[in-house]
Amino acid sequence: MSSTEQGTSSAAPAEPTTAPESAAAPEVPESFYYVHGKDKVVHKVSAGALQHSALIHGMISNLGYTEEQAKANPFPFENIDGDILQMVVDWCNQHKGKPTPPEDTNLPKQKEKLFDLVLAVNYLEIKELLTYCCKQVAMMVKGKSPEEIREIWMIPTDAEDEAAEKEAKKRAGKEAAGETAAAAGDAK
Amino acid sequence: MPIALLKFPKDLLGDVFEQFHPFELYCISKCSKRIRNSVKLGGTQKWKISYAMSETTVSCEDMNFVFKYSKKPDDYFTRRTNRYGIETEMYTEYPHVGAIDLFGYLLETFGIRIIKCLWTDTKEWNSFSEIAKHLINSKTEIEKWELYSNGNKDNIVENIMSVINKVNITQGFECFVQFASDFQHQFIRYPKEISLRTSSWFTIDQLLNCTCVQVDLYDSMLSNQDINVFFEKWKKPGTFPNLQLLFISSDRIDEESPILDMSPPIRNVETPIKVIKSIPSYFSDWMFTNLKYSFKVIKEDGTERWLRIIGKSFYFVV
Repeated sequence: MSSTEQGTSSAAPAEPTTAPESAAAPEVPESFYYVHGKDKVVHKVSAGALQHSALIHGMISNLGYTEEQAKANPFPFENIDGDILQMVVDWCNQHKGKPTPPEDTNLPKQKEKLFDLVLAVNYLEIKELLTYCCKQVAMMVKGKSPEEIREIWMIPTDAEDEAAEKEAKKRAGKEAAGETAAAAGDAK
Repeated sequence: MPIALLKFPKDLLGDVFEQFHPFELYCISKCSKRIRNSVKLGGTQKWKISYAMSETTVSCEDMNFVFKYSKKPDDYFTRRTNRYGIETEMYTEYPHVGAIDLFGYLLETFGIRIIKCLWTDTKEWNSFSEIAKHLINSKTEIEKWELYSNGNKDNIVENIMSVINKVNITQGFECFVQFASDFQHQFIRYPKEISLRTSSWFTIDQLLNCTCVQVDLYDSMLSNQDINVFFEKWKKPGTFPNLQLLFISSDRIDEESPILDMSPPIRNVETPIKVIKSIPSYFSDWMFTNLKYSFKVIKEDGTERWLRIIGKSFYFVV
């Protein structure tokens, strides 16, 4: 278990609190789940925070795990770097149970991680954060010339695309020829 | 810090491109052929486009973005804002073929399916014929097409009119072309409104089969006798269900020959000046203002219309 128990005070199940007399119903203890990325560092996140992710919400909605079961079965996201998952978990915790305001100051600022963050958020289906990330990607080229856009978004020129396509065809041809030769060898 | 945008999955590319307006997507499309083929992922197909006076306008979300061409390379991609600070005009590279080339580029790049207004001159036909093929094949809706002429050869005009029959014009077709006296053309389908500035080729048989809401025929060859033939059909229930206005200007119309058994002069001096409800129209509405000298005519099913003949013009309105 990592030390990154974002926004939670304890790994243990919350103690039932005494409901005030005026309350209509007793407070339900919050449930927690565990996730880890490529670096295997486990993050404890509340179900409320995870509701932002349509993917995880769908996974946990019918599990009915106890705290122990949840701890023993963290959700593995091997395709997401640990620091990126940390950013996503932070954001989910900060926005637990509330919609993102139009001017959200808690959004991830690390531009150098934007590409990986977008892919992770897209994979985890966190709609509001994805919209924000796409806006950030778009903002990078607002008001820029095609030359500048090509540089910022690493868009290959037509000549580079053609060369890459030729190379790919060549490679595919060689591989096909290799397979044919191997099959002929096997037949002998 | 650059990012490799084209490594994003398609749906994500669409989410990014949705953040842009037409000028920005145009600049992006100019980066490479591959990205040009992707910009329509941003939902650009639902935009509308217009071409008039050598300018192309793309309309999205109630805003118009005007693309103008410049011969000065320093101006390329520069934008102008209106007084509210919104970008409304952008200068683009001078097209190789002509201004209409830019229209074709935007139409295809954005995959737009609805043309609000197409204002073309027959002299542009050589450049336009390729775009016309695209419009036919893609079944693009053209809400209104205005066709002007600058003294072209008859075969070009015939080509254009055959295209008119193949494209999907829905609201209006307005034609300012001066046709040769022996020109012949038969509409296969009609938009809601047609306005022909020379219509000598538009016969009574075509009028009888016309499904338009509004028909304006200038410089026509139709006569009082033809109008009588029209009324014979119109009086029958269920005929001309759409027609709300018919205007014919012809040297062969006069106030002296009878129409609908009315004795000449066909002028009802007792009709007061009366403003009538105008119908939604793309074209001029000056003829909707009053019914002075008009006669009321009644269909066999009880529908009422007004007809008026003044000089060599015949009006038939709701």
